[in-house]
Amino acid sequence: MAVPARQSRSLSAFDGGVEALFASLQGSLPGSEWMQKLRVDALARFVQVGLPHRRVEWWKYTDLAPRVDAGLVTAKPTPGTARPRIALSPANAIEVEQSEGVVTRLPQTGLPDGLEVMALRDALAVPSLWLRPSLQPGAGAIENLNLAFATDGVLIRVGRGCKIAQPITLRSWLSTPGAMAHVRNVVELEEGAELTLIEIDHAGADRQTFATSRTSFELAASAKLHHIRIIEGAASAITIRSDAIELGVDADYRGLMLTGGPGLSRQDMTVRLNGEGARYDVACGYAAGNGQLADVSQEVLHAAPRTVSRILAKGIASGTGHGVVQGRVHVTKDAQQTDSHQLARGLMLTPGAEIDHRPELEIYADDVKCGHGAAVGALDDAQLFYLQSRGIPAEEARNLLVGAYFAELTARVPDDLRDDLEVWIGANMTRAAGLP
Amino acid sequence: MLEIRNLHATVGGKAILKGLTLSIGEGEVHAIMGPNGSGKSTLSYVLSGKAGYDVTEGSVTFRGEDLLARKTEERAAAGIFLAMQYPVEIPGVTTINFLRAAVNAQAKLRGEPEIEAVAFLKRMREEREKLFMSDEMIKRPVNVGFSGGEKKRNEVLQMAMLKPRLAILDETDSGLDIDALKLVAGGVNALRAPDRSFLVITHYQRLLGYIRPDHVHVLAGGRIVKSGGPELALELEAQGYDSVVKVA
Repeated sequence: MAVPARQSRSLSAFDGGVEALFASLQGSLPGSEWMQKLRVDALARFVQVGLPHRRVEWWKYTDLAPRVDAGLVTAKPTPGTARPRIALSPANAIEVEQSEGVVTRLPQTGLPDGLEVMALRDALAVPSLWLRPSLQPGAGAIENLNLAFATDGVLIRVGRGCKIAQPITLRSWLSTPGAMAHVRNVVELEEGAELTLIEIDHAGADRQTFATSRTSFELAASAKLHHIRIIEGAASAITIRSDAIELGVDADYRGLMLTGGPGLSRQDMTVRLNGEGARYDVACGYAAGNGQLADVSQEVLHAAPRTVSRILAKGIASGTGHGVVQGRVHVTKDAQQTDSHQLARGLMLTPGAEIDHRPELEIYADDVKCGHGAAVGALDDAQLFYLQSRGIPAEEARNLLVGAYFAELTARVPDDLRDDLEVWIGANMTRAAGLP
Repeated sequence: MLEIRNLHATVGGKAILKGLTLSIGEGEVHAIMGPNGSGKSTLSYVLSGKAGYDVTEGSVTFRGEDLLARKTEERAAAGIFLAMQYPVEIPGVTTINFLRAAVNAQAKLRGEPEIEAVAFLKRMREEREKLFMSDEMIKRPVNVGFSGGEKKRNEVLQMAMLKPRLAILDETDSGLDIDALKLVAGGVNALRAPDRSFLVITHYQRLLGYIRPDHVHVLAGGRIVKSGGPELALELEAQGYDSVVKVA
């Protein structure tokens, strides 16, 4: 089929087939007429631009379009399939699961007062106009692709003043070869609400998998969210997590994001500090082993006075691995006394690896404190020799030092989670050091 | 136990050791003294196998085996321990975890079973108490925030836990005040045993007042130029290296 003349760009293999795929699936995607209209609109916007590629400035280091295969299909969870073994299970957690883009496990009873958890598919089966603001097409190609094809998602609401002591664990996996899965999640915390959300993502099969999520986080005044996200997977996995985070007066978002394993991973956070005194504090760790690309890109908008943002990113890259950290901070003219800092550190384990750090600041207020730092280095030979001189073999010494490098991140979580996280890091991130 | 014959070594292409010969028997304490730049630290790094220290000639036999053919960690497992002049800091790794990793790695390399956690902690407690190290100190990252004296005590603690056959002390006295020196020397003396030898590298006689050597050697220009008993250290202190080196 000839490429239409209006297209000035070249279509990627995936883009060329996306409309036909949508047409074949449309009847089965959840949602009534208004939702279907939004999907059509989102798809039209996606088709205008296609998958992001290196000539799109915000994706210049992550050339996604040529890496996504044509002919990806949606999949269905297969009952009885053993779910991948994934670490991190706090004993008292409220467990939610998604497989192949469909919610497969929801808590049925015994939810604490003030907590609602439901599947998007179920919510869309009844009048659910309250969801509309969270299901709008946007500026990003991936979020539009995600909206067009979203098969399900998890909706979490915490009522005013409710402090939920039990963490929610949301496990998502995609293990069908050649499949894609797109989920749309909404997390809303009303005024003064508190929640801990632990997301665990696993993707990979013996052919490419392509998973995206778009999660809207809305924290009303004085709400607090403690968010942990772990992304693991196989070399065949492309995993893109995109978050829209809106913070009200004195709202407090605290995040820890760890990535190790997928062939390509990207976390895209768009943060708006809308209320005075709102605080966004995130630490990200990634490992990009041979042939892998790990990207953490954040846009933070300070739109109210005395707002605070903190971004810490630490990563390792080895072989032909590639790490990308982008941090774009805007401060509007009303956001006086903004306090923002971003720090990116990278560890190159072998000379062929690549790490790109791009901090950007755009400041329109005159009374602010905004800082950024970036550093890339190698493992310290003196430390390696010290460990080896005590009898610790070189490989193990490297693992120990890489684990130590990430200890600054795991120090941010409670003791009962830290041990599990350290084990996970050992298995999924230090492995990128090229070790068995 | 250790036989060094005609050892030549270069660092960055520059010849530092130029025909060093030294023999250390079981249970003996040997001191090597010498002026700055004579090759003392180079000797300690060559023996422990640090990268960048290249042997160009000669041989080192340790307990009947060719030491130079082995990797750093294998030398450690065979019983070589280097107490470093400048112990490095390792943020993110606690002393206790580091030592457990080291003890078990050595056991594994020797084909022995790993030490059980309870037994390890008990030994750790006994050894640290001898050195007046608190529980809190060993739960901190290795050497991070330690004073010079605390770092050297940590070296002795590691030595005690790893039970080497040959301990090399590279200017362990540098940067220590008199109380710290006594404490560290006391720790070393407690480890003296018929099957454990020591090579004490130092500038000054001061340390040898606390760790009494059986033999004293003077290293100059990359070779041993004079050997003697403990009295040689006193002679050096009184007359300086110049006179001894010139006579030799």
